[in-house]
Parts: sequence; C-alpha cells; structure tokens
Amino acid sequence: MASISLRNVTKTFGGNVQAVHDMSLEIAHGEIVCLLGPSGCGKTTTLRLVAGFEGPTAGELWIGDRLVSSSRTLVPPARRNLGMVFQDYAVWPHKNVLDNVGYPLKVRKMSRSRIRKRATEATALVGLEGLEKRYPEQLSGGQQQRVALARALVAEPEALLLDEPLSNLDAKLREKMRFEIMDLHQRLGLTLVYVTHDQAEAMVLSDWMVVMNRGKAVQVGTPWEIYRSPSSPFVADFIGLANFLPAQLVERNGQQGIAEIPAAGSQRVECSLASEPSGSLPVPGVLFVRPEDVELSSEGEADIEGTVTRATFLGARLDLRVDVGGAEWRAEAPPGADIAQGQAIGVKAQRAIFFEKEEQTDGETADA
Amino acid sequence: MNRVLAFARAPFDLLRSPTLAGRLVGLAAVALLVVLTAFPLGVLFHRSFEREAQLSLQNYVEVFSAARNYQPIWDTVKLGLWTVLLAAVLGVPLAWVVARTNMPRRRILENLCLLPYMLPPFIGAMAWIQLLAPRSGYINQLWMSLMGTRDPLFNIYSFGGMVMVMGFYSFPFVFIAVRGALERMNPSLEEAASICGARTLRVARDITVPLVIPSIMAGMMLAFLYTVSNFGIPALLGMRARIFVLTTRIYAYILRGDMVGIQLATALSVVLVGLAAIILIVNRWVISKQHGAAIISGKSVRPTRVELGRWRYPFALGVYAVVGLMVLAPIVALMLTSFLRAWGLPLRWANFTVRNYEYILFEFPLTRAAIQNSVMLALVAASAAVVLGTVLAYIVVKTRTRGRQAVDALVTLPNAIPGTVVALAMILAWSGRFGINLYNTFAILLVAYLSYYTFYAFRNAAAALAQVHPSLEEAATISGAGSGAVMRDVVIPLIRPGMLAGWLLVFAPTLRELTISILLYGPYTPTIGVAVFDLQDAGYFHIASALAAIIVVVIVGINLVMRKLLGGRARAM
Repeated sequence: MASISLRNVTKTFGGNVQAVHDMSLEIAHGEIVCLLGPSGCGKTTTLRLVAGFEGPTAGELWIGDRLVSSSRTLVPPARRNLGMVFQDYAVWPHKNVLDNVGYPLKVRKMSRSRIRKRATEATALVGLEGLEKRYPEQLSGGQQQRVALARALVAEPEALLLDEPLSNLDAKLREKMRFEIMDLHQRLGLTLVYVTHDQAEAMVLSDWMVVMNRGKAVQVGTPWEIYRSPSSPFVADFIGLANFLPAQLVERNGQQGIAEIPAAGSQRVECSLASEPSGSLPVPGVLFVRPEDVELSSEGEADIEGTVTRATFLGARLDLRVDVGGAEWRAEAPPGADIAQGQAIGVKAQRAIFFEKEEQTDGETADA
Repeated sequence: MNRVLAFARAPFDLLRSPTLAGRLVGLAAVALLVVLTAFPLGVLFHRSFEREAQLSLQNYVEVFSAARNYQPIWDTVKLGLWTVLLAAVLGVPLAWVVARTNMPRRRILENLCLLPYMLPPFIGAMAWIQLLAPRSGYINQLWMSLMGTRDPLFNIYSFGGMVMVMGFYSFPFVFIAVRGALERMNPSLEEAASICGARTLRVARDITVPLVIPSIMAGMMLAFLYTVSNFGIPALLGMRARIFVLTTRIYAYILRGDMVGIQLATALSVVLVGLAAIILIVNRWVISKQHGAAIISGKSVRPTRVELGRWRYPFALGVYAVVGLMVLAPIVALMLTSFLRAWGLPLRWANFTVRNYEYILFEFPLTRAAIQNSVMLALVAASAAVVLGTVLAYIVVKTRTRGRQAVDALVTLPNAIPGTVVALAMILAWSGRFGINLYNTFAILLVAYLSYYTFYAFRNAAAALAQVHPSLEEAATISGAGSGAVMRDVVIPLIRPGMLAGWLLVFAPTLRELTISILLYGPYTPTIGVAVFDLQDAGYFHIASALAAIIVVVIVGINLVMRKLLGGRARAM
C-alpha cells in the first residue's frame, strides 16, 4: 500500500484536446479520494493516468516512492501492482468466478493451491461464497460487481482504483455497495481512488474529494468543506441544490459582508465572500443559498414574502419553490409541514456566500 | 493517395508496439499481406501497359479493336444485367413471403433460399446440364416423351441458360438483403400509415416499397458483382455455345500459352476489375443516398405479417413448387446421376450402382490426387488465413496504428476482384520473373487462396474483436498480465468462435475452389474443383457427379456446424 502523488500532470489528446490540465494531488496512504465531476471533465482520464493506461503529456506521477509516469517513462499497468474496478465490471465471460478472481495471482505465477486459497478468501470477502464455480452470465449485475471487486483486491494491491463502479446498479444496491466498499476500506486500510459523477456517492465515501471541470481540479477538500464552502458557482451548483440570487455586496468586513437582494425588496443578508472583491462597493454578483438555509416563516412574520408555486413531497422532506418578486427560491420544509401551493410565505436567507459577477460568467457554471 | 501514404506509416507505428513479439508479429503480418496481395496486383496492373518490355497502350488498343475481345465485355454486362433482373424477380417476392406472411413452414423456405448461396455455382451448372442438356437432360427427355416430340424444351447451352442458372445462384443476395430490411423495419412506420387511413396495398406502395428499395439495389449490386466474377457457369454453359464473357475469354487467352495471349488476358483483367470497381463505386453512392438506412437498421422487431387466410396452403404449395424446382431439382439430379452406371442410361433400378464412388475414392489416380491436394490445401489455407487474418484484424480493430484502414482495404481488395484476375496476377508475379518460380506448384495455389480468402478469416476475427470491450483487456493488464498473457488468457478465448467460423469460411470454399485453381494447377496438383470440371467437360457426368455429390454433402455439413457455432449470427452470413 502506498501514497499516490500527481505533480502537475497534463494529458493532451490528439494535439489540442486537453483532457487533464496541470493536476496536482497528494493522496496519502490509506485515504479514500473521490474524483467528481460532470461527464467529460477528465476524471476518468485522471484515473487511467494513475493506472498507466495513458501516459501524461507533461508532469509526473508517483506511487509510493516510485516514479511510474512522466513524459519520458511509463511503467506499464501490469507492473504497477494496482487493483481496478471498471465501470462495466470487465468480468471475463469465459472464466468462472474463481478463475476471474484468481487471475492476478495466476499471472504472478503463484502455486495452484495458494491461488485457490486466496481467491476463495477474496470471494468470501465480497460475500460470494458458494458461487465460485458460476460463470458471469449466471450472476446478477451486483454479483458481477463483487467479482470485479474481489479480483481487484486479491493480489493485495498498492491502491485500488474504481471507475464509476456503481453506476450500472439500481439505487438500492448502489447504496448497499457504497457501505460495503467503505467497510472493506476500513478493514484492509487501502488507498482508494474513486471516480464518480454521483455527488451523493462522493459525499458518503470520501476522506476528501476533487471536483473537476474541463480537465481542471476546481476544488479540493472534505465533503463538508465543499458542500458548505464551494469555491465557485460551478461547485456550488454541482454539489447539492443551490439558489443563485442576483445581489450586490453593499458592506464588507474582511471575509464577511452584507449583500442586498433587489428582487426581495432589498433584503439585507449577511454573507461570506468567496473571493476578494475586485472593484469598489457596491459589487454586483450572485448570492448562493442552500435550500435548507432558507428560513421559512408564516405570513406576516417576515420582512420578505413570496408565494409557494410548487410543493413537492419527497418522502423525507417537502421540496418548495417560492416566487419572490419574480425570482424563484428553492427551500425545504419538514414533510408534515402544512404548506400548500399558492400560499404566501415569509423567506429569509440564513447562510449565504457571495460570488462576484464575473466569476459566474467565466464559463464555469455547471452544464451537467 | 492519402491511404497509400498512411499505409507507409504503419510499419513505424507497429515498431512502437510495447513488446518485441508484438512488433515482430505485426510487421510480419503486414509484410505478408503486401507480398500476397499488393505486389501481384501491382504487377498485373503494370504489365497490362507493357509490350516487349516497353510501356505501351498496345494491349488496350487490341482489346478494343477486335470483336472477339470487346464482345465479351458487352456480353459480361448483358449477362450481369439479365441475371440481376432475374435475381430480383425471384429474391424480392421470396423475401416478402418469408418476412411478412404467415405462410406455413417459412423456416424451411428460408433455408432452401439460402442453399444456393453455399453451393459452388459450377456444380449448379453441372446439375442443370443434367436436367436440360438438349437431348439427354432429364427434363428434356421427360418433355419429349410426354409430348411425343423430338424438340427439347430448353437448351441449357445458351445465353438464356446462363442467365437462368446464374439467376438461380445469385438471387440469395437479393433475398438476404430484402428479408433483412423487411424484418428490421419498424412496424410503427407502417402502422402510422394505416392510422392515417391507408389500406394494405396503399401502405405497401407508399411506405414499405420505398423503404426497401435501397436494400433491393444493394442486393442486386452484389448479385451483379458475383455474376461478372463467375467463371464456372459461363465456362460450362457458354463456351460450348461459343459465348464468351470476360472470365472465360481471359481463361482462353491464358490457356493459349503464348506471350501475346497473356498480355491480352492481362489487359482484359484490368477491364474486368474496372467493371467491378464501377459497380462498387455506384453501390457506395447508392448507399450514401439511402435516407431509410437509419430507420431500417437496428434491433430486430416483430414485423406485422399478412394473413393469407384460407389461401395459406395453396399459396405455400405454389411457392414450394417453384423453389423446389429451382433449388432441389438440380441437387436431386446430381445425386441420381452419381449413382448411374453411365450417363444417358434410363433411370431404372438395374442401372444404379455405387461403383462411381468406389472409383473416385479408391481407384482413379486423378480424383484421388485431387482430393488429397484439396483437403491439404484447404487445411493449410484455412489455418494460415486464420492466423494472418486475426493478427491483421487485431491491428485494425484494437490498435491506433496509422494506416490501419489501408490494411483493412488491402485485405478486402482481392475478394472484390474476380478470382480469375487474382490467379493471373499470381502467374505474373510468381513465374520466375522476380526470382521466385512457383508455377505448377502447390505453393502458388496456396498463395493465391490466401490472398483471396484471408478476408473471411479477417472479417470474422474483426467482428469478434469488436465485441471484446477494451476494459476486458485492461482488467487483465492491471491484474499484472503481460501482452502475451492478455492474448492467451483473455482475447483469444473470447474470439475463438469467430476464429473457428473464419476457419470454416475459408475451408469450405477452398475445398472445392475452381476459378483460381483451373489457372494455377499443375500436372501434379489437380484440385477437386478442377477434377469435377474436367470430368464434366469430357462427358463423364456420372463420375463428376459422384465427386460433386460428396462436396455438396460436406459443404452442407460444414454450414450446419457453422450455424451452431455462430448461433443467430449465421443467418447474416
């Protein structure tokens, strides 16, 4: 087991398509790190660079204290001692479960009896005991997934790479496998790099995560940091639900300030600043507010009122859309709340982050 | 030109393969491909412009100024046009019956319609001679005795005879294309017309027919290509009536054996290739104009079928009578003749014997040598073609080697060229002029077969490889396997059915090959196809039939095995 280190890694395809741009990451031994982003953001390419299926155009990649990839050297994947779970599982249809799982040991020229023993153990580890002789076609998607996992683990790799491993499973099973992967990680203490476009999955699994967009790491941090303090509207929009309310910053005190929302009768909201304002006050921009940070009150109790345009019951909560002076606010209420469509309601932004205007228009808004 | 340049880059890219073995195998395969195909065809093209070691247009001048040279060009086109017309008249309605009616036993009808596709056409020509030879043919005899006349019903040794037999053997191309289109057409297209108020015939006219026309055209193109390339049928049916097409005229010139003969044959070959090229270009153009392609292609759906009601059984009877006569009658005739003591004897129990089989299998040196040669050639050619084809397919499908499309084109090319031309190219390249003389040897047959048939092994391996998702190989690599182990443990096992099918697809036709062999066989290297042809031509119908009957049984058997192997896919072959 080992750390993984990417140092200014860039990957360019066909001369001008930059799949990964100047990426630097230090993944410590035993961490789970998720690469998260919309499709085409370069997360899978990053993982394939780590695996060695692609070589970097520039930069270096270290596994432990070994330089494995640079623009000049490329240790082939077979010699990196990594485990990988592919999106489509890549379980070989012509080999049974035990032969699939035991294959990494077979190419390491282990004795037959040891292969058998360790493959059986790995199969049991993922909960497939009794199915050793089955062929992939006789297994469900979830079971094939476990075979792929066992195969990736059996040779005690330096690190485990997972490329959207759960995206082909149904919601229930996905949830279950997430916790099993965490469980395995805890038991085996593996370094784990996990690619996903599912933010919920990344939140649950990660020690820390990398949000990517257009080949760049746009924010690196713990799930909590990224959820609470997104560094850009793109991240704010990609992770969880977000309100973006046109506003202007009217007062400033270090990293804090006060913004006015014109559409909401110039309601003044305390906010933190995502970055140093570039011009003098008032600065135009948007105010980012999570729906759960919108405080609701009965008619007449708040300064600002809106009309509920839609109330959708989602099981654990009530999802609301509120029209405030022509702008739509998303908010939420407990499932049993007595709120109906067309009702007037008071709103107040409790916790907000101010993004300056140009930041939103520099092309980093989520298109996913 | 771009392709040629790209092809020149392939060796450099192959040299960058991560392993030494990969580099060597890849380069060897591409080099072999060049030697087998590009070089001989290049020599042929060059030689057509050569007279007495000078560049000259003399050959073409002679070709286009003497009637006996340009008449075959015209007759080839005429034969092709009449044949595809007949093929369409037979293939389209039969495809409709199979795909869109509730006629009983449609599967059997379908298999009957595919049968001519697997049988060698020269054996078909032989069988039809037995049915419709002017005085001795079974059908003509029956006709004359029933009618009390001395005039036969039909003379098979005629242009009409050629068109008829050619049509019977090329209609499966139209049948397969149209049946596929009719089966895959989204039924909602037709249902939408019905909802709009169109009745059954109106729907057929406005929706169904326009959507399948491109498929009909595509099938007819293939049938045309097949017809102009064919040697066996015009050789057995036309030459006796002094009707020559390009393939038989080239054959006659080569047989003449002198230098001018070879030169004229070479020029005619280039004309024949040009004719085939025009068809392929027109075909591409037609395909590019297909608006319906996207609508028709896709997964197969359950088409709406026409209910024949109480006409179901009478209709079936009529269809089976026609197809039975067309497909089964010649095979029955062949089988009957193979058991006759001598051709021409009446079909009576006392005249039947298994002597012919004993004779060809155990006594007659020509047929024994032919069987030995052909079996050996087919085994070696099929095995070599699978190895070569698989390596080339891997380069084309699985690597990013520049010039891989050129490799693809070069493997496919000989198969689009008439076998007669390929054989002549081999004679020109490998008769000593370039330091290697393979003329009259086993090797020249093998080289020609490989050049012509590797395509089948290549195509099947490529199709199988395309099914192997890259992650399956990557999973093995990340498990620690080197490229050799990835091949051995993952790729080869997964494409084995495709490789085996490719092997059979080369083995079956090489076992009874005629067109190439008849130009390349030597005194010690007769093949089965040549033996059947010569025996038939010399009038020993009963002996030729016995050998042909064995071939028919073996080929049908191979096709059954192949169907098992490929499952549903075999229907598309």
